[in-house]
Amino acid sequence: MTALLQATGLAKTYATRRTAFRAASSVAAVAGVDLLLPEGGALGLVGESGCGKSTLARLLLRLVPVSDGRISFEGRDITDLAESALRPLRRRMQLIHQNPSAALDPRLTVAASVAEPLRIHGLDLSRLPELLAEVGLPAEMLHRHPHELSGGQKQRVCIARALALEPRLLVLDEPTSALDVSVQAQVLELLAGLRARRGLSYLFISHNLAVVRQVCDRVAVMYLGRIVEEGASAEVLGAPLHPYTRALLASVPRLGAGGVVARGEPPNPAAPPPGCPFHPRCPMAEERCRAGTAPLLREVARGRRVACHLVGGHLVG
Amino acid sequence: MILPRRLRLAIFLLTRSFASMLGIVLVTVILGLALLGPVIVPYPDHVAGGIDLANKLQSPSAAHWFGTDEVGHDILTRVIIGARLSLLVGIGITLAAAAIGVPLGILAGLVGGPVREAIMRLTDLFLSVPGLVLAIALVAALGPGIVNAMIALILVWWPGYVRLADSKALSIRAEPYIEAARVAGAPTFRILWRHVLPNSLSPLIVKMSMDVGQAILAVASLGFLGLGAKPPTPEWGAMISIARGYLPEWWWYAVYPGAFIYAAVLGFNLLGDGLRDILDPRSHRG
Repeated sequence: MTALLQATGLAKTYATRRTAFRAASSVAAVAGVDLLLPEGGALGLVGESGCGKSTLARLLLRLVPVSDGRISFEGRDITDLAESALRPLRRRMQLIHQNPSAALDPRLTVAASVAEPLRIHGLDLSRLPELLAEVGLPAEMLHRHPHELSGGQKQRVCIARALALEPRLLVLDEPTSALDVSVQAQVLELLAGLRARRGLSYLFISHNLAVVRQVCDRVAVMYLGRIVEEGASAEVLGAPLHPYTRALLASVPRLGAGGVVARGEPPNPAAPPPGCPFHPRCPMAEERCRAGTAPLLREVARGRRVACHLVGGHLVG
Repeated sequence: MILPRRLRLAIFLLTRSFASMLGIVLVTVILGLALLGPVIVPYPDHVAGGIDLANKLQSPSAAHWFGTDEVGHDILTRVIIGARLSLLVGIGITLAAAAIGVPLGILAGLVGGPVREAIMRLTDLFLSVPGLVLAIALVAALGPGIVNAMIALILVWWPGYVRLADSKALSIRAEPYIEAARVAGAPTFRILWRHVLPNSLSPLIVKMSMDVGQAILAVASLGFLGLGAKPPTPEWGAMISIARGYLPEWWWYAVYPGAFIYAAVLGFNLLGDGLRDILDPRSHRG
């Protein structure tokens, strides 16, 4: 399998402006992320709100300026490409937003919204009913406005719009979290079917671990702008190694829950703690976790990377 | 099929409200008078010249519904012809101000950074002086006259549109559908034209409707001060300016042009309110 999308040392730092009351500082929303999405793969990206998942997604799509690191798409370095040079590549990498109601221009009909990418790239518009059928919407929806559709229908329209350009990569930013549970399942089913039929690659952002397990073959866990654990989703979510992953799994409500529980709130990304960024909340933290630099993401077993001082190769059977 | 339904909804929303209906009626009457003016006025030669001193300062009667002025002109005739000028000037000022202000505002909101800073500080500079006072100063510098009055009012009017368009563009820029358009590969101009402008239009249309009334009032004010249309021209403000000397005895001379200014301003304001109800996207839902 070849890499469709690869990031090395990717970082995004936001500078906060100096005001009368506060000195200028910077916030590392994404701090040195290495990521690899193979052609046809589905990588889940999980973590608490504010951990930098969405920022990472927008960095990878070159929607926000990159502070540091490299991105390559289809084997080509796209980090420094100008917007005009990026435009033809945009056909093959598309984004699905979290809230479909906000992702559709309220003034445009479904037909106009789905046709827009085709118009921009000068493609044939006759495929519109076909595209709608592919996402399970009847052709008469073409003349509706977004406010006449349900949440699930709107998300289907967004998916049809993304598919119009025949992408190879779909970045899905919490595509089901704005939908109610019964509709979630339908949309997930649709996404799974599309991936199989079209051979799409997914970067699937979610905080819903059950959904990630269902959709993705690999999963990366993010904490405070860093990836702390990465591996096959069955392994990471079935036998987590990093204390944060364990805490994340333990926070899923279920009967007879136990195990690791993270204390408190995530720290302020503008002033991250020294040492391991998770140590203030980690129930297993030792002296070496509290000082020095953040632990690096190391391969602890085949295809399994963890960033924790306490996890050594010997822990994995 | 969609459009008639939306149209029916719009008509329903308008007719439901008495104020909106009154606004439409007033604006329609004034528009009608302006369009048909030269055809329907009883004394066409009284518009300018045609002095009839024998009939000067007649009180309202069957022959002269609104009475006559100090040179015997029929006031009804002059007020109707005045509607044409006021309306033209009011709409002209509003359109020109919007044509300057809206592109600048949308540019400021969309591009941001130093461009926005420059545009907005210039706007603040204009807005920091009361509009009419600045307009008076400008006319005084340019020389009195209806064209100069219009130029002065356009110059003080555009900053309001910059403010409104900027704030709209700023909030729309953050909408996910703008990002969706970028992901689809839309160039900035296309995003501006197809998404930002149409979605900022409703408050701008409402403001423009209200501003036509305000501009009519402003032109009349300049006319009243002797800085706008010159007295033989049948302009409402200029007419009141002369009529002031004939108050209170010959009250009809000032009252009728004044009533027309009042009706025009009220009409356009109520129409703007009604349009706000229709154009608010929330009222489409359900």
